[in-house]
Amino acid sequence: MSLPSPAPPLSSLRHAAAAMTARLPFDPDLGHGSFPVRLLLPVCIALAFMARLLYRHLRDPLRDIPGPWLARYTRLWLYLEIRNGRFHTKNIELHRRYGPIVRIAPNEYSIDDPDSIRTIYGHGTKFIKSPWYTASGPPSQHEGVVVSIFSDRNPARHAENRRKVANAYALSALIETERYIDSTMVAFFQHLDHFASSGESFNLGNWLQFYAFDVIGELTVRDFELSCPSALIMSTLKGVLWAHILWIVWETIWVSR
Amino acid sequence: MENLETGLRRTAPLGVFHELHYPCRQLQDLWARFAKSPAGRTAVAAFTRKQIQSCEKERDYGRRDFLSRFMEIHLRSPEKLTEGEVFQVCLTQITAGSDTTAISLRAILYYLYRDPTKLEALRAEISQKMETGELSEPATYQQMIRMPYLQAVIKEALRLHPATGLVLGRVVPPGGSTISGRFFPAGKVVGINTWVAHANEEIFGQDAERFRPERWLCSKEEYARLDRYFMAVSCYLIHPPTT
Repeated sequence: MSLPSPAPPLSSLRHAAAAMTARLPFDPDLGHGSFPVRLLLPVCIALAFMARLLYRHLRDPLRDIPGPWLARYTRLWLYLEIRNGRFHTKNIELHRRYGPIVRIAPNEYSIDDPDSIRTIYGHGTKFIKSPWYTASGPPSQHEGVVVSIFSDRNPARHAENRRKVANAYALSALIETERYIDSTMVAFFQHLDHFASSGESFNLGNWLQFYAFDVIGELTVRDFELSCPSALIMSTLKGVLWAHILWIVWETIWVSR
Repeated sequence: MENLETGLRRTAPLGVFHELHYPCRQLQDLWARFAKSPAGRTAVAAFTRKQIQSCEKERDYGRRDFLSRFMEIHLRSPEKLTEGEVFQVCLTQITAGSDTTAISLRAILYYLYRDPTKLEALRAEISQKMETGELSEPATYQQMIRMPYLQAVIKEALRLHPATGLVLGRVVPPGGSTISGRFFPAGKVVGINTWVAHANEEIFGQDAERFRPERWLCSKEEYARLDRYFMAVSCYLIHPPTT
């Protein structure tokens, strides 16, 4: 049988209360049902931000174009779908559901119409590449060159740079490079033979990646060796991927169009 | 930030995107520096640079690979194609060319092995060509373009699993544009996803999701109709069947 514990002295109670209030995120004296002042600013900013999104949405002449609701307000939807690796199938579903034009981000629309290929990508079109391509550009200035043919958004400069190297991509030139990959091919088949005869299991997907990497490397700068460490390829691709992810995050948070 | 943004938009047409690209570029560089191996692009870049230098020394024109061709142009008129540009073109080609090729190779093998009847059909074509001596080892490009079933298999795999999976965005030019019956004001980003195009049932029929190389072995008119919405390769490397 335990005795009732003696009532704690009043002073220690006061201390405990003081300690508790110190831990509260806002000043309890302002409490009593009224709104904590410290939260006023962030809430106002959030409200203003939302009001602005709503205002922009209502003024958008294309607001009736269907698509996922989240994509109306932010690129986050697009980012998540791409990050989870299911955007391409989701994109097909969206078109099956909504028809030839769907929204995938506040300012971006996916089209499913063969006749529009010419308008958007055709020869002499005035449509320039979207800012998405900037993240695929050279990671930094390599000897003063800041653009690559893939990521260049300036059509005139792109055409000029393309012209400079076009000869190397003529069919006759490509056929001439054919013999340089024979050794890579032989080496690849030897590896496959080895796996086949030893019964060792292996990841064909990875090996095709090594093979393709070596073939392109051999055609481009020669003397590439098979099974360039996989880490190298993966980190290259991850580098590019990260740039895109960072870019989307950056734009989602920072830029309100 | 808003002011800076509008300011940039006014002063330079690409201003706003420079602003976005710059921090990413910095972060990417940082990332590359702290990665475990002599990281990706940096390592490929170092190798490319080494090869350019050795090419400069040897002036080895016997070889006809891309680097030799570019260096030939560069050495003839350095101002036309600078060394930095040679470097950038090579690097772009390795990054853009290798992963897409690997994806396509995987798709071809995946679909073939999932459907043994198609695999058998391809094997039959190969044996037949081997018997008539029309196929050497390793096979050459000229021989392979004369193998309709092989070409159809490649084309069908690229249709079902194209190497790009995003909407290839383009900015609507000043004045706007009407696309698919809808007016888009300037500045909107529009584009077509290769996956969406290739899954279109109006073009490819109810069995658009099925791996059926035979769909490409058809009349010229039908081939042209299908090919109009085939976006994986925009060059001559995949030939129409010779029927």
